[in-house]
Amino acid sequence: MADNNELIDELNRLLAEEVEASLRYLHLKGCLERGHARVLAILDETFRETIEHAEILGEKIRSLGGLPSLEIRLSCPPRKVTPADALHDALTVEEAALEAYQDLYDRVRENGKPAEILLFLKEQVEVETEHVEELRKILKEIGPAQ
Amino acid sequence: MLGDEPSRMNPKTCSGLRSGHSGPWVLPYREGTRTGTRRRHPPQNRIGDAVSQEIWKEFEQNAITHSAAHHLMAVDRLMREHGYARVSDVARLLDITRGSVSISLKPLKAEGLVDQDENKFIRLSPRGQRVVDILLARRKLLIRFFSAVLRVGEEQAEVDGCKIEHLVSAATSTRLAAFLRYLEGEAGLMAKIEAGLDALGECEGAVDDCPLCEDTCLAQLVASGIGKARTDEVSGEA
Repeated sequence: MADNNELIDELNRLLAEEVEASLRYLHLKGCLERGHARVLAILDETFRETIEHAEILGEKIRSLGGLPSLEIRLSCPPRKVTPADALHDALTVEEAALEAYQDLYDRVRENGKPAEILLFLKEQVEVETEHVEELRKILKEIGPAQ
Repeated sequence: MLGDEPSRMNPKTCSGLRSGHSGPWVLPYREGTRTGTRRRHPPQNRIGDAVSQEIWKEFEQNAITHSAAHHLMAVDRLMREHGYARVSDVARLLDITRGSVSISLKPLKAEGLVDQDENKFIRLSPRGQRVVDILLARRKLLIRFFSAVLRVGEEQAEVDGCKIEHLVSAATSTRLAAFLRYLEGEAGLMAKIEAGLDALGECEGAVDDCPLCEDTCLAQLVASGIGKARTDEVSGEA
């Protein structure tokens, strides 16, 4: 990682990933077919976690002397969402987040600092890996998307 | 590393990556709101509510959305410039999130337009490449028409070409190519058009002797732009 500003830019990209993901979850929750309490609970929990992650990212950006910067372009047209559709979309988003955290972790690790950010990224990789694995497991039970 | 990664596309060139829109672009007809308005015919510039709805449905059902066109062309550009394309590269090039790219690629994969290997590298299928080639050809024709014939500025011509390339039909594209071939094949014709446009100057809004307009001055109406017109609609200004 070349300098602090570059790291701040990268953390802001992760912030955009998390905020955009939270909005997608919100939309999926709203469009999900009625009567699937378990999937609704998963979406709800994941929505809350993405918001928490976004807040932590904002704090990390501040700790590096930057300010959160958010630019997202998102359009979620109305559509009927089955439980499998919702979980497939969630998996896609979580896999993208995992890759984004993993990439930045690998790059920050080359320098070994800032240690606080390195530790945060490592934890996020673990958390996102867990999410991805959970979603894959549930999807195996539910079956393919429509 | 960052230095090897593609630069972002100029958002000014074409920033509308959204795949969905809130409603038709065709504005409702309002009588007597512009200079020289009078009714000689039924209000044809409703573009017919029914017709505009049909056009809108067709737009919504278009096989390639604006967003899809951008994603396909981004993959094509990355392949040509770097020899590979990953989700992260497409996200950086289009200046959107990886999550957004991954979601957008899903229908393209399902349609067989792109493939992703086990190492997550993306490539266009032969069909996807064909779509990109067609889109690029249409964009080229449109830009040529806007800039060389209509004398629109280069940047605006690119923006408009980008907005339309995935919507215009094969039939219209073919006729446009023929039209350009004809214009550019006739010695002096392009210069004559340029001189004619210059001589015409700005429209003053009179519709009586206008060979184009009937009830309303179309030139003045379109010159205001949709954003401005929407503001007028909301505020109730004439």
